[in-house]
Amino acid sequence: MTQTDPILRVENLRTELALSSGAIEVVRGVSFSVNKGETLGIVGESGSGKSMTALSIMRVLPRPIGRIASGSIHLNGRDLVPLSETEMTRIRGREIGMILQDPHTSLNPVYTVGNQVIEALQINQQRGGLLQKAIDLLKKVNVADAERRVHAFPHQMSGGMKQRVVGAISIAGAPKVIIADEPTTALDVTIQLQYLELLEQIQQETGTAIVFITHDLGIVARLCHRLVVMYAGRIVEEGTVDDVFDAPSHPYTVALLHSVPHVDRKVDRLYAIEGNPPALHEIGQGCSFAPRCPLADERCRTVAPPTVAGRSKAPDHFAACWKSGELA
Amino acid sequence: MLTFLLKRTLYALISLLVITLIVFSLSHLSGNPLDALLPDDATPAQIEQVTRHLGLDRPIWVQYLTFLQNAAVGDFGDSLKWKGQTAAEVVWQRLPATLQLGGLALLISIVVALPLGVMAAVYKNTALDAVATVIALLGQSLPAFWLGLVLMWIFAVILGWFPTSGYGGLSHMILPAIAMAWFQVAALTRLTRSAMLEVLDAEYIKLARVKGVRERSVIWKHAFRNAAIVPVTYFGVLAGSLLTGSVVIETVFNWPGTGWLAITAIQGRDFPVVQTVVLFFALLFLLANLIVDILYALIDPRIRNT
Repeated sequence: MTQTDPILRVENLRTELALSSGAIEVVRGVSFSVNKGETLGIVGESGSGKSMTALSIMRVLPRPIGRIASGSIHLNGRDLVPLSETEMTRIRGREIGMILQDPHTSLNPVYTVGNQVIEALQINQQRGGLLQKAIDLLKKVNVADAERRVHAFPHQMSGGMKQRVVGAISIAGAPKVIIADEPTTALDVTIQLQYLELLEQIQQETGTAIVFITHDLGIVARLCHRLVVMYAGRIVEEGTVDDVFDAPSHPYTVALLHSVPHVDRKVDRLYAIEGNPPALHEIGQGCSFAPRCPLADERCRTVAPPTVAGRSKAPDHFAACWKSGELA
Repeated sequence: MLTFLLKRTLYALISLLVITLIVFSLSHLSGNPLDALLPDDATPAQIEQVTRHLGLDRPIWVQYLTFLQNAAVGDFGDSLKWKGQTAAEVVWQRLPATLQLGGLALLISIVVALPLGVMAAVYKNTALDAVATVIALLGQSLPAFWLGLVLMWIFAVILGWFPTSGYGGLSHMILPAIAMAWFQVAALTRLTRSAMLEVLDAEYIKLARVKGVRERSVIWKHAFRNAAIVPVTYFGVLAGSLLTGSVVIETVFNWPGTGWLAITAIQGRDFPVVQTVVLFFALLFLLANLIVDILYALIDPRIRNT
């Protein structure tokens, strides 16, 4: 928190979904910040609240059940939480862009790619020569034969190509932050690397900050400067990629790193963390990870863990754990 | 696009051919027209003369081919009931009344149901959604003749805003058109609502929102065009059933249209008129469905390119 100039600062964010069985908190007091030109990874299993955090920042939570219960989201010094829907519409696309997970479903099937890119340009006050600007934008995200593809419909393109178009749409307004929610999960492995390189290229050219949501630690190591690890709606560890990978300070992070298969090491059985993440309505007082944690004791199960310095002793490395010191 | 249209038109023509066959066979199953044409005490000689005159003594397939050949040029023979007029003329005279009334009912259905269905989906589980549900429930549970009578009683008899019945201008058409449209409004609203609900959950709607598209544009540009496939499908049925006239409504409001004509002709075993009416109805249905196919292709490029 010593950084002077965070472009995006999320503080104590709490998000609820009103289900028929009652309201459940899917984001439970999340705080992090992203600096200009930085890439922050948010890592966690399905259901850890990482996508809900992203949707909260964009204010596109599931309707009508999702709402931000409390907390603040400062973008460039301005809190987004009190803004009206209309004001948020002006923020979206212009100041924060987003890339969704599945390129096969995230483009509108009844409009041409060009139409959808041009719409993004128009939203950002671009006038005149829009077709050429759309073609330029497609070229920028390495869409080959952009002059022809601009007239194509989404169903005439491959997944990787569609995700490039989504990328082009997200940078049409030159936003200061782009949230990428597992943008490579639905792509072929060979295309994934190309896409990550594209994101790096965009970042170098535009200086935009990227929040990269993923469950793939390999991608985090490759792409991100810092990361936060989420579990059951909370951040359990935060730090630079080097610090967290070298000195993981939460048993969950340790287990996650342990579960990554290595090409150069042959094992009979891949490591898996015992048990499942808790259902969010049955979370108790203590540490959410305690039921699956090999180190957990009575205190872990009953008292919420404090935020402690990470084992790297770096000033920006934290973990929320009673047992951090016992990890080796 | 052109091959798509040609293919659809070809399908329509084949359907039409099948329908002519069915129409031809059905009308020959409904009883002997001679019973209706000739007095009970007709002599065998008279019967034979009329049979020969009408060509009823020839093999059935020859009769069918002759029928087909004549139908192609709009000749369905003379009406048996309305003496001195051809069947085509009889139907032709009734046509404008039905098309006017059906057209207005069609317009009302679309103009009311589409926005209502869309808004009910967007404001799901709110008061507006509840109102739409009630309108749909009423429309589907109230019989059209009863609704027609009640509308007539309130707006024509008590309030005196509209004439009670009969053929005339717009003021004569409003009450029967509403009575006809209501059921269709109900069906169309529910279809539109459920289609919109599904589309509003789609990822491309989320993407439209995150790229900063205004909510009105999200709904109408991004969601509605995708959802429209469902109500457009129903449009074929809708246009068909409204434009061919409602027997019930035309009777209640004493509206001289083809629906009324169809019943009268069937009762009088007026073969040529029945055949003309049914074929004409079939043609309208096929035309409406051809329009639906064209609309599909205009709405969704994935259909256009297959």
